[in-house]
Amino acid sequence: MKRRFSFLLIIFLLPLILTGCWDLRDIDQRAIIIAIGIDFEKTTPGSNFSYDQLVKLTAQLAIPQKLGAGAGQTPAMGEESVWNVSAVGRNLSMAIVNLQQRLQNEFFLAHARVVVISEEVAREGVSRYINFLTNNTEFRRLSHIVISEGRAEDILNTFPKTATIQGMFLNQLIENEVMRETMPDIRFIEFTIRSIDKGIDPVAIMVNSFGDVVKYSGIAVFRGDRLVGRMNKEEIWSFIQLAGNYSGGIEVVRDIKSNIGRITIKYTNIDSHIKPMRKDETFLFKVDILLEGILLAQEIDTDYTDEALFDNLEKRVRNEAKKEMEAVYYKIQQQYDADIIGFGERVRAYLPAEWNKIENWREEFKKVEIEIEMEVKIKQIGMYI
Amino acid sequence: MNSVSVVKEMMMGMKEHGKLTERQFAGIIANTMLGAGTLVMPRTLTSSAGTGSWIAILIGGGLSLFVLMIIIKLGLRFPEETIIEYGVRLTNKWIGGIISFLLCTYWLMISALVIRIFASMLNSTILLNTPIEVIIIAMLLTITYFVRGDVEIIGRINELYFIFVIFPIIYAIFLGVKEIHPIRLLPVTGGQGITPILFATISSFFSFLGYEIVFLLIPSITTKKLAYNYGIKGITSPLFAYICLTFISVGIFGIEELQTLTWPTLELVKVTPFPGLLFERLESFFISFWVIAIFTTSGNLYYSSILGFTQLFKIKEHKTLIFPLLPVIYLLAVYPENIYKVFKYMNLLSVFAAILIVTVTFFYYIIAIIREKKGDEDS
Repeated sequence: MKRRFSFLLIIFLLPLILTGCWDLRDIDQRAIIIAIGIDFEKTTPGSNFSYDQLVKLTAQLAIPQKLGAGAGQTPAMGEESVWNVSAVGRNLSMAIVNLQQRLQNEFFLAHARVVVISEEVAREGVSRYINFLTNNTEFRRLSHIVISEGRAEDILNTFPKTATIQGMFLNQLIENEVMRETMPDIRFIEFTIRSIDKGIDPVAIMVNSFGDVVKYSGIAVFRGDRLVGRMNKEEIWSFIQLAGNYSGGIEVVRDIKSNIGRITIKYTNIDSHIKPMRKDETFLFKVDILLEGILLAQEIDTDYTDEALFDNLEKRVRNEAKKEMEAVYYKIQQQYDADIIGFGERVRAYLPAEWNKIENWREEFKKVEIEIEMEVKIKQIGMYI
Repeated sequence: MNSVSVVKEMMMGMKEHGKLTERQFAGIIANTMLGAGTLVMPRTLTSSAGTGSWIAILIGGGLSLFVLMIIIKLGLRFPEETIIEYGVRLTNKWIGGIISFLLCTYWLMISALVIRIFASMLNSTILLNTPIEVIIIAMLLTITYFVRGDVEIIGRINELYFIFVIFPIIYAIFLGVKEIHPIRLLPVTGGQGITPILFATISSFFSFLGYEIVFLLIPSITTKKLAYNYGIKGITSPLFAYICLTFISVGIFGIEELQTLTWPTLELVKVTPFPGLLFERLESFFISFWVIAIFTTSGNLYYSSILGFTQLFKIKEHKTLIFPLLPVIYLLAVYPENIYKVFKYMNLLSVFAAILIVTVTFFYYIIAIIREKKGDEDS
């Protein structure tokens, strides 16, 4: 009897202990954020804000109900499938609190693919704005960081025709360019690593928007965590070749025989070595690059079966590429004073004794010299000889 | 002696109560070492020696191996006794007693801190709204159930779970290899001379602690001759895991970023994409395996502490002490107010422990040689 009673007592007490997850939140009770935009917002004079500048956070929410279309239905596209909602605050955390008040579900950052930061914010230094994200456990550091030429919210409010979800479109745009080796692969984690590292400065993808087009327009050059300048498409190609990770885009040179026709070369492969060495008071970097390319198009009919002519063509491409590369190098060194190629990192790696003597690499970087040794090989000529 | 009686004797030996096979012995060493250390190791170790840390880990690991060998050698002089028993015989009741008490207290404290570190990690990554006390209590109750068994059960569990402890670490290493930026691993010597490496060696020696529970295990091993052999086997797998984890973390994050990460190993899993987007957010999978690693570490240490106290106070059964010590371990685990304090206590405790263990080992060993004391032969 006693046993039976205690057994019953346990059964009755169980519901008190086994409450399940009290913080249970199903997937449909989450506000899934796909992209985040960070802007500044000027306060109107006379309002009760004590700050003249506020942070404006724009969050792009996926509307899951619109995404899963049944058979025969067309899924919602562009503007239909997402909702951009923004809020202001004196910092990002404050803006998020204010944003939360506009949503019926809790903010869920785990699926954020892209963080768009406006140029204006980036010029003030981004670390204080992205620290909320690096500190957040939900946020994935493999997301992309993008700098917008205008306002970040305008980027998120542009809906290209093929975008099912706008944030995913941006994500795919970047990943595709990286795969084609025309854009440096700078994810959020890489950006934060470089902004802390003393030997290398970060870069970030820059986009702009007009009509319903979002365009990859260049890269933003940072010094530490502050944006100091930008480079356009062709400069990026030279930059990533010089930094030695990607082969870059195309090169257009004049035909050897005629000044009217042009020849287009697409680079397909790169092998590059940068060797730092001490030279008098400064450092000399010996850059050794082998570029392989294919002949993409030839505007007039010059016969390149002639070996001397072909060698000449390779030499011309090489000179052109080298000239551009040197121009890019002087731009980052003299104009931006930002070591985005990572020369400092190389000094630290290969000349550790010298690196320890350096107090401020930025001062040192202004003086360093480079020597580019370059070779171009055209491996393929296409279908038409 | 005919073969039948030999077989019979072997059967007897196998059936004997509370015996550890050598593999279980190695498993216990490895599982005790692979615990909370794996979660924070890459950050703490690289803070002084930078890219030269791998040398420090190698030297620190070599030192640990040396100390472990001395511990086994000392233990084999007294094959039927634990440190609590031969400590008293080597010195006197008071000195031996105090040393044993310090050792057992250290095991209890480290067991609590390991649970606390893991609970803090869970609390800041996946169980955001769960009170940390609830996580600690849940883990403590499982451990209580685990330590109720005797050394045979502990051995079997450790042997069985070793694969679950080492598998996620090796998997994380293989996932991470392709994300390495080789330039961040250079210069291989750290580039700052020998002093920072020596400092890092000391701190890496602290991180390897856990093997000292061998003090209590020697009497339980079946084939004592193989203790050295399996001791080496037990200590090399954590060593290998630590070196690889540190190497990969430095290669991916670089030294400067690594210092800013609270849970570097978890971050490592977070930034290594699984090929083909088949799975995302792999860290939950890894955390579920880490529960086992923490469970075995903390459980083994709690068991050692209880076993030590039982022998010290001459209590008949170790089960008697499980429940009285449970509130103590709980209070120790919830005592630090925040994670900074946890790391601070962890550092203090490991410095204390390293000094204690090294001194005790050599002190007893030298006394044993000088006074020519030896235990009873293995019957």
